[in-house]
Amino acid sequence: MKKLLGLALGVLTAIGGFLDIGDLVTNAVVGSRFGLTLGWVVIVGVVGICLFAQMSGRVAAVSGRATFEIIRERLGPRAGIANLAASFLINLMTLTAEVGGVALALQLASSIEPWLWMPVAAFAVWLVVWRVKFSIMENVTGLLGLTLIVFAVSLFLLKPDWMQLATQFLQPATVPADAAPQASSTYWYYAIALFGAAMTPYEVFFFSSGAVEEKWSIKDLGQSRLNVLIGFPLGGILSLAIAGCAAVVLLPRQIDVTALSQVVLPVAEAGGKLALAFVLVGIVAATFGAALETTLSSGYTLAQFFGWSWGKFRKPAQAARFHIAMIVCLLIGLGVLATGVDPVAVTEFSVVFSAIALPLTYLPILLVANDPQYMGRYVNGRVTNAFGMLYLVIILVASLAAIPLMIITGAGA
Amino acid sequence: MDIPRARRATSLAVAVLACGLLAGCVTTAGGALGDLTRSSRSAASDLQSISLALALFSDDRSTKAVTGTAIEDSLADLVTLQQSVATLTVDDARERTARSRTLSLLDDALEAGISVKEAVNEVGGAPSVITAHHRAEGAADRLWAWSTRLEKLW
Amino acid sequence: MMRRTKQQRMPTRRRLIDASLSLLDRQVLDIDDVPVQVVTDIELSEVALDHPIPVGSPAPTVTALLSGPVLATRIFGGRPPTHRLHRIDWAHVAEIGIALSLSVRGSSLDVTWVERWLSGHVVGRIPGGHDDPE
Repeated sequence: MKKLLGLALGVLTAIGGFLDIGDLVTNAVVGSRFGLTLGWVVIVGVVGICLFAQMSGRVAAVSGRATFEIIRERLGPRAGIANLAASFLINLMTLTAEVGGVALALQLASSIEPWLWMPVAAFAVWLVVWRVKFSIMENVTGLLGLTLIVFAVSLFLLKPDWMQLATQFLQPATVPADAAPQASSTYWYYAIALFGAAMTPYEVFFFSSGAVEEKWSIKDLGQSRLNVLIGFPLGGILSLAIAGCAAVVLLPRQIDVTALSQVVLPVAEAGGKLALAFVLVGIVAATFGAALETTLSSGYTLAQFFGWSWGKFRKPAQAARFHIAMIVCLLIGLGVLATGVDPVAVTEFSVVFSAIALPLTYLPILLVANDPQYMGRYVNGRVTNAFGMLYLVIILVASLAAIPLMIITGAGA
Repeated sequence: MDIPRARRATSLAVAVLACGLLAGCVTTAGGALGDLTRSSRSAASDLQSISLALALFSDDRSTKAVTGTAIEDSLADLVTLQQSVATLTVDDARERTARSRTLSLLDDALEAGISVKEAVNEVGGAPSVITAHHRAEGAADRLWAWSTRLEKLW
Repeated sequence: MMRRTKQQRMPTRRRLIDASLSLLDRQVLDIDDVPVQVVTDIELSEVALDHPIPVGSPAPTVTALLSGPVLATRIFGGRPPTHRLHRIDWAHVAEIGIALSLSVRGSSLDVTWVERWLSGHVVGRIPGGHDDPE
């Protein structure tokens, strides 16, 4: 019975923790502009993140090494430093976006300006990282994030034309007939953005470091596999629900999503103030949880690369550089937000840059997952490797195409 | 993994060249008229958003906080659009006329948005919800029609 | 830049390891499994710099594991002065696996001074810094 509860908790936490500000904004933007014609990207992204998380979790459980330790050991210092710099900066960008997202969500709940919420949010993130036990942190934010199911409920309440939605989803090449010639490049730009939002690199740093934090061994792998294989796809369905809600309510009115407030309007239309309450709790929980994860990831990447002592399982005084690095990162994120930059704009860039940086984190994991010195007999099977290679190609294509498309489309204008 | 220096230099040069070429093709598609079209469409989108927020609020389906935030976000975007259109470089008389027409429509849009904000906050002397709603919808429709006309002129 | 021999014989156990593969860039853990530093370079004994080793002379031995500014010089070239190197004596190394384990506590080593300073003067002063999170 206890095992069943543990399993349920793991799955539920995976669902609730799947979405972050990148998913919320990108799916809503895409739904409001393209309907569900980009839905296939969510599927591709979810399969990818399942594959990726599974491999990195297995590597951590079997070898006891977390991602950046492995990157350093396998790629050597030159490639490792380049990898670290890029991953760290993009992680920092995502952190900034998440803290901004918390502030925006709190504004929606309270009407108080987000600039006032940002220091509060950053401080709260730090406090939780400083004091709260890892598993409690994960479980609380994950379970509260489950309230985002209200997006799926709202989609049903809106009584959409399911045939139309299905047609959009299954005929991904449908670009409207009266579209500008640039529409194709814009479509693919947003495909990459959505892909980056689904396959967030910090998720992998966090997952594998978390495995070490919670001292996973090989027998914990089965549980983690279930969490990932059930939880993440269900989280992906929520992503589609967000896009679907935007497609049903915003697209017909030709409203392009540019702010978080627009993301929740469809939920209000579907279920009124009660639904709105749920979605706001969910957004605060999801963005706060993601802010925690990105903050910890920034600590993990630096500490693991430079060989510092790290981990929430240690007293802060025994992982001094780790904690100071995280404090500095939060301060930098806060500083960037204090310049008045729009957190939604930061989010939109962070997902595209996440897509660009994906090969850097993915390739070492794929290499190590096949290395018998680290993995013993738990190296990748043939099926995993087949998918692994396929995704390597997809990730490389997305990464290379991102910047040219960004330039051509003016960042999706 | 040492790539010979010559090859590295060549790859770098190619990359820079490619970026340069791409920057050249950066289709500010349609030039100034294209920018005006996109700005008009964005403004129409903002007004529709304001209109939807108002409708949900008057239906008691939304809270004041969410409605207020949605309206503020759209108004802020309208102001940004106004600024970017005002500072747009125009080359000939046709573009200049187009720009001033867009600006006047944006002014209308901003005022319509503000009247919605006042209606929601029940500021003294504010228009009724229905009037504000009509005003916002009307301004949005005009902007959208204008953008369609502009697009044909690229 | 130090010239390295490719293989170094271990004195106590008959094991042949490749210094590049098994020592460099590896994590060093102390006796309690607390991370200490990363091996960024290795110090060898009695090697004349930039001269080939004469045939028949005794092989150089590993005297210390290095960290610190050595990362930059290893990538870009050059050598930092000896007093700037963070050294861990080879004698302290107890075991070589995926990570290197020492036979001493990290806090007794010079190389951990940054961590100890930050711990004592910054992190330790924030309320809750010494609290066990579990």
